[in-house]
Amino acid sequence: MDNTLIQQGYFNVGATLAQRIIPVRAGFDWVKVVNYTEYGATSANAGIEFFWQTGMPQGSAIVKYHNSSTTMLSALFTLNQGGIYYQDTSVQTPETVVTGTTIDHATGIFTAASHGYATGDVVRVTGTTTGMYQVQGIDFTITRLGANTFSLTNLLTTPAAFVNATAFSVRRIPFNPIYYPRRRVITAVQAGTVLTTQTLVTMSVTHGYTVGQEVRVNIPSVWGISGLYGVLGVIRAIGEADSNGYTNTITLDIPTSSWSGTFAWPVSTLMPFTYAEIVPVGENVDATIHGATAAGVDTGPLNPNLLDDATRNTAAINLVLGTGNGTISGPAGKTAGSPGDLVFWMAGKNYLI
Amino acid sequence: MDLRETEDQLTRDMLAATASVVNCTHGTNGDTPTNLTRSDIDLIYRTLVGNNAKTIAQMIDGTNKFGTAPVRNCFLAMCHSDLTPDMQNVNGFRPTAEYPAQQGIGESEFGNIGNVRFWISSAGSVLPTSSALGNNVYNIFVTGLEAYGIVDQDGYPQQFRYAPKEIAGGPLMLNATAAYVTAMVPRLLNDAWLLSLRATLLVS
Repeated sequence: MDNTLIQQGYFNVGATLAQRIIPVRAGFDWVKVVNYTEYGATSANAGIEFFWQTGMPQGSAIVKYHNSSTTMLSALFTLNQGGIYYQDTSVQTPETVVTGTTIDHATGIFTAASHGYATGDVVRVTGTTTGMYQVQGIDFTITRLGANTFSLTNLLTTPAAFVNATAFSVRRIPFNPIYYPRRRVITAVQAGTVLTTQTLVTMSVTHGYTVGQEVRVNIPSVWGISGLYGVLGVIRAIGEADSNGYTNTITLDIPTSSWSGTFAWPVSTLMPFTYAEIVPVGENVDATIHGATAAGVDTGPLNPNLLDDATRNTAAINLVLGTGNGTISGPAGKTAGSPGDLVFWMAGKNYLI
Repeated sequence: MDLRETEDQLTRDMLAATASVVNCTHGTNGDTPTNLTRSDIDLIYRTLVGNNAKTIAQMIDGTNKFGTAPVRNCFLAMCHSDLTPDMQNVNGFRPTAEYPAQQGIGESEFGNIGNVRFWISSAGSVLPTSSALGNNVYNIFVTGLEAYGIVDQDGYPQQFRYAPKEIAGGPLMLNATAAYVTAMVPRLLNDAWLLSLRATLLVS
């Protein structure tokens, strides 16, 4: 077969059943997955063979499965039924808009019917009416509260600067920017609760930073703080809880005595304004080599990578194996029963004629 | 799609992910960020000069030609071609046709405002539906000298790889293949010398 690229591999299903994401650098036009363990068993509704090809809907697959005997049946997973997905993480386009009805700033609850989001998703809110204007255009990690409600995981919305909104639009951001580490919007700044003379910063989206990285803090004066615009700092600790209990934080070696004021979200009448941001700029070699920790203990060399400041391209073309349609197990493994299934996969790339 | 376009896109995405951001705030379209104004550009210039960034484009001396005027030492700005109508509405905009000399002006250069010369491309950086009102947000990367660079991997230069039908075409020699490969890392060298000015359009 000329000009055909075939990649293959295998894995054991983990203790917790979840989608299986496999980077397939060259992309793929067709996929075949075989659950080797189930081929020789008789588990009811356990998928044993799956096929997907370019042109079929995302998350679909042609499925062969056992009933409760050795009889083999076939079925079809249709759109988004936990079959096989083609995923390109370089895509930055926000997903389809979901219309929301209310934002209650006292409780922090966003109401949007059938939003379909999960805890940990990143969303961008726009077009609010009557209030909560300040959060527009900013990405936030969310916490799912229910089928119709969610909250912003790292923002306290109770301050008086926020006002209830009667409508809004929201879109999920499918993937992070492709270069790591990423710039993040600041939601709170205060003195450290553990390292009390250093600066503790909370961010709107799960930051992904590590100790030793160097960042620039850009907080325009409209945010109530002076002395923290364009200031460099080295991350000394991550995850220190701020006074609101949020742990999506970094502790910087910027002494609290170098800035003044209290960080506060601007009232909406001050819009438009520039967001307060953390911008990764590199790493502190001393901190990385000597492994400085929050307690200042030298843990020895940590094999530093001197090119790790926003230069790692994390984009990938992924083969995503789903968990099934709720009845018949998917290519990622069984939907019930003990984990450990041995699954083989094969993905090919061919001419499209 | 070609090799250089891919490199441009990777560099663009690196700048969009890592450069410090300043929103346009002096425009009149009611969005956040607003449309581009002279005040926003002057603020960027002041910030870069304050950070000791060096300009890239040298001054173009004035000459005795009707309708031209000298062009100052400038930082370079790279942005999407959608911004061209708004740029022309900015106070002090001068198109390249009004430069006193045409030597050394790139095909992509659109004009200058104050101490910034603008280069446009249809592949410029856009954040879809990201403004407060849900409009597209445009990144305008204003850069000083040596603010960012590209690191090529030693021994692995950009290559165009062509396999003729005798190699790739099988027994019947039906097909040839062509591809390119590159191993490069775009990165900021000094983040204080480059800013991303974000704007929306005056009329979407």
